[in-house]
Amino acid sequence: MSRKSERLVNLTIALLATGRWITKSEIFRSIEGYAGDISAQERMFERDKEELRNLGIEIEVGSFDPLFEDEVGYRIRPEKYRIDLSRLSSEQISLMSAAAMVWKNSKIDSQASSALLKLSALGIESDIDGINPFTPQVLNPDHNLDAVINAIASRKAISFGYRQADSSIVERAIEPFGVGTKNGYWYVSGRDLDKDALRVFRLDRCVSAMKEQGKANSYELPKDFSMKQQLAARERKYSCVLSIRVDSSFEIRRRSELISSDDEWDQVRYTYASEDDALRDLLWHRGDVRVIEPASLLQRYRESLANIVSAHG
Amino acid sequence: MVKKSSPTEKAARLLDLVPYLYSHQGIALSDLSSTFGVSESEIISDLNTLWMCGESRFDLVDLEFESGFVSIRNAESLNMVRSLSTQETMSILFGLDLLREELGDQRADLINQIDALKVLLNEQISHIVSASPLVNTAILEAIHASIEMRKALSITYRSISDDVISTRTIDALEFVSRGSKVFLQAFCHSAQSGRTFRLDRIESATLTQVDATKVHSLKQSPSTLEIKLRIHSESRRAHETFGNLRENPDGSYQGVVFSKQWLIREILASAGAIELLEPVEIRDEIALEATALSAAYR
Repeated sequence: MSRKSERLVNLTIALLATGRWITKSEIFRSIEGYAGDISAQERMFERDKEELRNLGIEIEVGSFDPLFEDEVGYRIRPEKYRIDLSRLSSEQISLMSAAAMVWKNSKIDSQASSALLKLSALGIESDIDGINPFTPQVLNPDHNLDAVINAIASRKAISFGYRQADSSIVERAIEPFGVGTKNGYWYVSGRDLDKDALRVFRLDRCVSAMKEQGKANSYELPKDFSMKQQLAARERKYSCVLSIRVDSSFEIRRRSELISSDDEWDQVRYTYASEDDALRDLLWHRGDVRVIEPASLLQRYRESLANIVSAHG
Repeated sequence: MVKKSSPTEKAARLLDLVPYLYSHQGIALSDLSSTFGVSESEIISDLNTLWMCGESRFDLVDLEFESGFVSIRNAESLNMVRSLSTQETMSILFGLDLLREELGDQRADLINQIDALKVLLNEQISHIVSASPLVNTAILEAIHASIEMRKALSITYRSISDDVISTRTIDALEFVSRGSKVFLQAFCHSAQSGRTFRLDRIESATLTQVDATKVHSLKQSPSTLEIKLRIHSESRRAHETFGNLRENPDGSYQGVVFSKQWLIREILASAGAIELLEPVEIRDEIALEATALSAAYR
């Protein structure tokens, strides 16, 4: 077990420490563990390169003499391997540490804690006041979150069973672009492969585990994509006039503007994104809400009441 | 039982151990194992492996750890903190986004730093994550303090089903999650019993100097309601609202809910898509209420 890790570390040291390209034959000669005949050694080396790449270590391939493509050489550029400190202030590094702590105790803190380890290895003391880094947010990560983050990092398409608005379950496939959390829910957004359009999915509505499909790096993240924009609240572009009983209907009041009031009733202008949403909210508030206008909304409201009566008659 | 690391995970840890040991010379083995989240024997195995690594077999890493404290020499070529992986960068960006929202307009200086940092880390990746906190830090800090210091907490709480905002004194006990929602389990002084509060509906929380109640009978005896309903038009909303009910052979659903007010509101809000079958008294109440509401418009 440890022989392989030893070989990977030695390979990294050799490729990092060299100021020049080193060839495969030099690698096989100087690093212990490349055993067997030459083709077995080559296969091992290819696998090792792939493993290091998965760790984010970039191995460059080049040739000694651009005119003669005799034997290629390999190296790892230290400036790519290490965190570039020159660009980061110590205050920024402390901010990053505080940010990594947000994940503390949550189920998927492994990425954040390995990041935190790297930051603390820099040996820079935190020097930020005004932030208490030890108040972890209460995040409730979804069991599919890790899979989504990994798929985005490797640019792999994913598929999953998704519960649609009509409650049926449909297999969806996307190229994931971004991931985010809002109001305690987690969302993934990306290009829906069937619809060829940008869509947002709530992770707790994915009823199956995420399946990766296809090769890594099979697409690019669009430059103009913004997860924040994808999660922006739907525009409340409609409004209606309601009477609401004083000291009631707090949820309605949060999205309303007061027009006038008397002892018993307040008249307000309530804004909403869709008529269906508005109807739900109005019905939920029972006798504390009266619809004044528009007539179209009032009509649907009265139809809904008639449906309730006939369902329970 | 801790999962054994794969050779690649081990190699990654070895690479990260070197710069960490350089900046923490003389660290205790026990501290090292807890920092890296692996057992002490695994860390010792790591160090034994690392000890066999080097630029050549005559120029190996020099480690000292027999005393139980670790120091390192002759590994200069690996004494570099590795770049963050995409996943690690994303996890930090999530945290930065939350911090940013938290700070609001209080600390413009830090907000600027965070924005600059996002660009430095990876401008493109910074656009693909977005996070907003469920509750603000001041509320969270007060809750943590109540749990740790055993002091009572004064909260204002928005109850959606009762349509009231009330002030209560509670002893915070623990966070619990159900599905995608996070709740605070607490002892409520005014009710003199256990209560759960949805975290995102706590509007404010202030720590008091009152000691938490000593004897807690958390045996909550919430009035439960055995109900039966039929879904006339399938919807995800119905599924998510009544998903905990069990389906009967005749297609109706049956189970327990905790609030009559909530039940009536949910049935009304479904606009006839969900029919309450039992309890019959509540079913009749719903029919009467909808009739009365209609009558107001004649």
